[in-house]
Amino acid sequence: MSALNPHPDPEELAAVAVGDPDVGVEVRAHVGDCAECAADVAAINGVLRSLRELPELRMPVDVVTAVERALADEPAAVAPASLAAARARRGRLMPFAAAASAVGLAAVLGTTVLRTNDQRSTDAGDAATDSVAGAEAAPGPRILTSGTDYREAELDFQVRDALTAPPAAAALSAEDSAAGRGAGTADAPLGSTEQSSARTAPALTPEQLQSCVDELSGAPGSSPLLVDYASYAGRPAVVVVLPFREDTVDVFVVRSDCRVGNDALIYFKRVRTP
Amino acid sequence: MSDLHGELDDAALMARHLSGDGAAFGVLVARHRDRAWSVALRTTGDPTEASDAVQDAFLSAYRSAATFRADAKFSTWLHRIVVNACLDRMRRARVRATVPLDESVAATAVDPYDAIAASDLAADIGAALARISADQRVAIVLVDVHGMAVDEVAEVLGVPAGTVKSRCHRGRAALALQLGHLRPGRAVGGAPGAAGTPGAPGASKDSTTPPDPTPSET
Repeated sequence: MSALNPHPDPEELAAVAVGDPDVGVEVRAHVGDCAECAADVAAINGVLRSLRELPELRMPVDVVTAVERALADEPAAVAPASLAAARARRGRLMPFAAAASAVGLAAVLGTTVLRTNDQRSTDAGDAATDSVAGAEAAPGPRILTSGTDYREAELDFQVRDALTAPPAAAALSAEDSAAGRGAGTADAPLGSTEQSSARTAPALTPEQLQSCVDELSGAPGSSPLLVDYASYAGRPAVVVVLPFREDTVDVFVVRSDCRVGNDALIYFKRVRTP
Repeated sequence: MSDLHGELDDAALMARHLSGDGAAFGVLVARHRDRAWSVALRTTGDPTEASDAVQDAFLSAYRSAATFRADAKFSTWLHRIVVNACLDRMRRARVRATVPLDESVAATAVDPYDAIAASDLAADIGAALARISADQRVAIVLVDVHGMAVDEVAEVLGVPAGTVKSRCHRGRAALALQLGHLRPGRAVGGAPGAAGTPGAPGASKDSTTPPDPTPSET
């Protein structure tokens, strides 16, 4: 109300309509005495009744389908509490993973292990260069000692980078590795720990790694796409990436010894790959 | 969905989802999708935008499930995500718009609601909702249409309860003006002369502003 307009503002009338206790005495008194304003309050009440009578709408079938499809395509962004839960997630819709697993880590690693063992006899610089080149040629898993400190919020990007980065970008120089600057090489020799920095998980033996992968996947003879002896949130950890579908991978972050059992699993995430 | 899932409350389903139960989130979607759709359609006023918004919202909820606090109310959390998805869609649609806003509003104010209206009155209400500000519209949809408590809506919108009440009062008055239920000369905000038409001489800024999707206080 004002000198020019003796009637309350419509929002004040709307407040009266719902019995808002904050409405001033003056406004209430005016509405009680003014037939026009009382009519407006009644009209606002009518609008309110109409709003309350609007029906709940049902989501159309095509929208339901679209939502379900979007969720079905969505990589999990959850942290299962246990290895069993992670396995349960892998248990659904994993024909691609099963096909890949049939190849077997041991079969594909055999070549890598022999080759990298051979490379140990070469000088450090050549070993790094050769193993990087070998990573492109070999069909087996990519074995890294990247020095990456994986983080939950960045895991998707870090894993994609590790899977797709050119070997030259993934590998730092042998001098860096030897100096413990958190660097490693693509296709680093399995079992070689001398290149690891203090924060980076030491490499497992091929047998330990196969046992670890089998335990994570729940399927003996599984073959990972990537193994990175690195760290997670500042602590040594092994990142094992297993195929799930053609465009999706499962990322297991495990403790550096990857001992069998739930305690080994630090984090699990399903990540879509380009 | 198993019988077990159907018996679990929302918090328990979220806990199961986070522990790797692949079916739990689907139960939550089935349980809340109609409400999410109602809010999205009535907020955006556009079935296509609403469809995209609810997809965005459920994906966002799925992805950020780990941030859900066990002591929170799932429906409040989800409403917040849905409303934010709607406002985000509306912002982007506004940026995309190549016609003057008033014209675009006039062109779309009625037709989208024709598709959802169960009656002429519902259509009129829907068209009127499309003409009030987004802030007021969201508050009206949540409080008046869907019966949520003012305090809960305040939590959804991240504003004080008094702000929600104020938006509701202004929104109800603006709707009454839009529907021609108030005497001629009434104007929200006390300015005489507004006839409920956006841009009408003397129309209050808050009464019938075009659907500005950008909340002024959120």
